[in-house]
Amino acid sequence: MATTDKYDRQLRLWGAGGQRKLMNSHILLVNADAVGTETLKNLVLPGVGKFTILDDKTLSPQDASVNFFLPAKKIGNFRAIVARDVLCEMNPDVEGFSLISNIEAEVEKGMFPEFGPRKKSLHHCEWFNH
Amino acid sequence: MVQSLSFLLFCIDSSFIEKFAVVIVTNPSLANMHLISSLCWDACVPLVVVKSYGFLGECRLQLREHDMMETKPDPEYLYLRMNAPFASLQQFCDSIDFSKQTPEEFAHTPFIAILRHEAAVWAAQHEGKPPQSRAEMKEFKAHLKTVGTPDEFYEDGTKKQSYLRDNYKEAQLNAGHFFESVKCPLSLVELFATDRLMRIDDTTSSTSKIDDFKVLLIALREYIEGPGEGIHWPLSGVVPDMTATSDMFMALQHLYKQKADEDRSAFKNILTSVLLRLKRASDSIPDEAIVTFCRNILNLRYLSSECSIRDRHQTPKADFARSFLNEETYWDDPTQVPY
Repeated sequence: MATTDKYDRQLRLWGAGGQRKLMNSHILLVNADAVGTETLKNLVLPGVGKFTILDDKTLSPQDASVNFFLPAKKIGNFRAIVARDVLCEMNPDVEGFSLISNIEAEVEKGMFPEFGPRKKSLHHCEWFNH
Repeated sequence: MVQSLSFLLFCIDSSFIEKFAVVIVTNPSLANMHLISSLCWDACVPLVVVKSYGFLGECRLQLREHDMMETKPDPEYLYLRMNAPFASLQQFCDSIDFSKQTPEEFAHTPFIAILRHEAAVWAAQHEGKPPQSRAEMKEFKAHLKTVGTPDEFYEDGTKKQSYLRDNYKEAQLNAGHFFESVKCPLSLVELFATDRLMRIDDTTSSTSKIDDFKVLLIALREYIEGPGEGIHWPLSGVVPDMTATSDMFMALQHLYKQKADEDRSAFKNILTSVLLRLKRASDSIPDEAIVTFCRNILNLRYLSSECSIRDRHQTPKADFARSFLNEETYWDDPTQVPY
């Protein structure tokens, strides 16, 4: 019995409660590589509430050759933004954010002395939400 | 715009990771993984670390505390209190006269009633005891098959090929469950034995996100010790599909639902007193959560990693890992497998 609710089939799997939990979730993905974007796709399609991609790398030819979500024509752009755009296209109900940041570099700069409270200056952290 | 500003503030605040339901890290560098592992552990946020290399992959969970109510096992075991019936169930089963049944009634008696009847018959023939061994259980099930395959005849008196009626087949399948000793299930025993679940300190850190689950468990334990007389928990009230007349099935569904509602009501009273004792509002746990909890008592689970991935890397279980390299102990003697 077909219904017009696009989430109908998965509701039969995890119920209204499960769907509500999914829709109220905000997922963080660190590293927009192939396995990461595929995983996020599996959350975006059923209607996760929000996601954020944390990645400061730009799209390389190697990335584009293994990842459907990072098209070759976008080589040179930030991976986090490209992946965010493509994923959001797959489900307009989902809100996506990108965070251009490099945690490792933050560690080296001493921003996380003992992984305690960090004093983050704004210019290290640029983010986009179109 | 307002949203964007608040998200920007997340970055400045060291607890930005607390906003996330799950953090997924893919193919991180070691330093990266250690950092995220610590952040997620401190914030009590579930972490999934995924590594892939061609066709090889690894997926690792770091869960400081994770409660589950709806684990949705398939198939789900529905506990029916067949051998410890409540009043209305007893009445229902007693009202069926097995000696005066039409063939139609015979083939549509619910298996619960069949089992209660046949168990009584067996007990009468075995000094009041249930089947004591695998052999006796086999005998009991064979008896069900005999009873459930009634003789049928053609008009001229020759015997027809008969078959085992579906409801008696269902009785056979559920006979094992019927004779299981009625006691607190292992899953609950394990939960109750987990110290950090059953204690709520006044100084509970704000990172504990499972307070509701803990309170419900405390109330459940009190229910079992109190109204449950040590062996019963609130009934889920769900009845499996079975071969029966519509009227009988609906009557069974009704009486099970009724009992479940009564149990849940008693549970709710206990829960309220527990909440007040913990100085929480008596309605701070929504009805929906209580209904879900009572419906899933046999499905409750709790997962907790021993330590963060970073800590595990810094204090590895070297002996445990090394033991797998010892082929003799691992392969030849199964009792030595160290898990």
